Amino acid sequence: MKGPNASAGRHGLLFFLPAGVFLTVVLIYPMLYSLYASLTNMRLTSPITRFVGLDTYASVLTNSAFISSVVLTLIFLVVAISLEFLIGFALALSFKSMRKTHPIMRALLMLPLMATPVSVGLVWKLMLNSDFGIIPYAGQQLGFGTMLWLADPVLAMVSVIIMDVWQWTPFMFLILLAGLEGLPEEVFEAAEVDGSRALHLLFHITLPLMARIIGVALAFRVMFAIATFDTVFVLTKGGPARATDLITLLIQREGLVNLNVALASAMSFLVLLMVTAFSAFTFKRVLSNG
Amino acid sequence: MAETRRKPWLEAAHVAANVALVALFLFPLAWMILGAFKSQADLLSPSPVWFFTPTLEHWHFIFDNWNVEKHLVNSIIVSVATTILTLALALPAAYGLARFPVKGKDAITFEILSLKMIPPIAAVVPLFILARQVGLYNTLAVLILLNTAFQLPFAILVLKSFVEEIPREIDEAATVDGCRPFSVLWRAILPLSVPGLICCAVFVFIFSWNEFMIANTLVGGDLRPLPPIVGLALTHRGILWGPALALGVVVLLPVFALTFSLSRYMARGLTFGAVKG
Repeated sequence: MKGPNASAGRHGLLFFLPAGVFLTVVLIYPMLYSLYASLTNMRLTSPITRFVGLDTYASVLTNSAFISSVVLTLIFLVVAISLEFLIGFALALSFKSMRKTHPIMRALLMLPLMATPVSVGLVWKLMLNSDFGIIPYAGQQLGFGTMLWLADPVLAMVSVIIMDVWQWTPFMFLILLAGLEGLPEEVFEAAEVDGSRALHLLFHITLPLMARIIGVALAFRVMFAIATFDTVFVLTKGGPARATDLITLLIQREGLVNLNVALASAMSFLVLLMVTAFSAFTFKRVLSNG
Repeated sequence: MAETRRKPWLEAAHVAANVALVALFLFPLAWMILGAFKSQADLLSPSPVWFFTPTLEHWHFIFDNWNVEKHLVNSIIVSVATTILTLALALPAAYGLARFPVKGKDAITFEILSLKMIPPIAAVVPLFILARQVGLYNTLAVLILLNTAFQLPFAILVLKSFVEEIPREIDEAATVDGCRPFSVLWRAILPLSVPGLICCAVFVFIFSWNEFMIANTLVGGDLRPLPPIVGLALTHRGILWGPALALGVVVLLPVFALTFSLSRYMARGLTFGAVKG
């Protein structure tokens, strides 16, 4: 029995080989190179590179820019993803309880999600512009006075979060709606009741049944959100005064503007370490019974 | 259905509310498209202009001054080539992982997912250095290779979930008919994987079409695809709002066309096949 099985295994590996080799050469090798760079003092502005062990990591961990970027990224992740989940779930419940939804409505809600990120950053930069943006104008009409969305440090972070919520709530919505539609119909037949029973139903039946799908949606969203770059790069470039300087923007500036390869690589690996820790914790659990 | 007991006006209000919410989500995109046809004065007016005489001045500007057609062709070449290369590598890999008792299969699948978790920015710095060393810096080829590398883990996992749904009897019947594993893939699995391939192709095409960071870092001048050109409009001595918006709309058009026509294939791709949509 072992013989044919082993040869079948080899066949399977053969099919996987082209993709495996490709990924190794184009992605894994550069990451290993980056790991090496992070253990040196490599700068593209200086010809001499020498091995410094973990010194670069030590300097990253005591670097106030790095720490503040990590904190900003965490704030961004927690606030934006919580809002996306809550709004997306509410929308999904609302769509599910309609008698019919036209598929066009779903296709339309997919547009913010698929839209080119630089264009997304561009239109929000236009709408939030303090001189002629429609959002400050609406704020003024509603009596909030002059709000400098992109010039005030706190409002700039709020702007980044609003943009992200706009772009990614449809992601939560579509996955959670697909999940709700997979639930047995009886769950919803019982739902046509007064408010308190409906809430009870939501927390004691719908949510537990949806636990795995919610886990999948959140895990994927966190994974994508950590990589957020293009939209914020266009909207604020990390400003004003580094108020929206997410970790990806910091790495880009250190590596490609200041050409401090060692520092950028060490930062990348620390981020990667956090992502891996997070994913080892969630994905194995969430995807295991897929 | 329980909902039928509901009062009709309540149902109507519910539908209206949901339509309004969808409209709210679409507003920024609509505002952008309107903006691309507004004159400079209307665009920079302190109070929003809703009704205006459309003008094509920004469209003339971007085609006359920014060589949009050239960058458009670059974008098309990169996205189409990336899509073909990705699917060609991903389908056999997905088939191998879905069907054969490969040693350490779960570990491989998890590794593939981990690769997808590398934030592209973490890879861009070393890729920038290595691309210069091997002479691929400032070529369309490097964009195709890198976009493929970044999309491949996604494509393998999605296709694997589709292949797993094809009944094994199909493979067995083909094998009994004398097919070698490769022709089973080619003759039996490939035709049955079409919905999965479409799902993957749409996402891979759109993601490589939208890709900004790698393109902005690894190519310059005439070889740039469209997204970095939008970036250019933003930094050029103040912002040329009209042309920037027109260009932003040009980039979005194929994305919208694809999303709109193929959305029914796409729900599943959002979670790499983990939730069947």
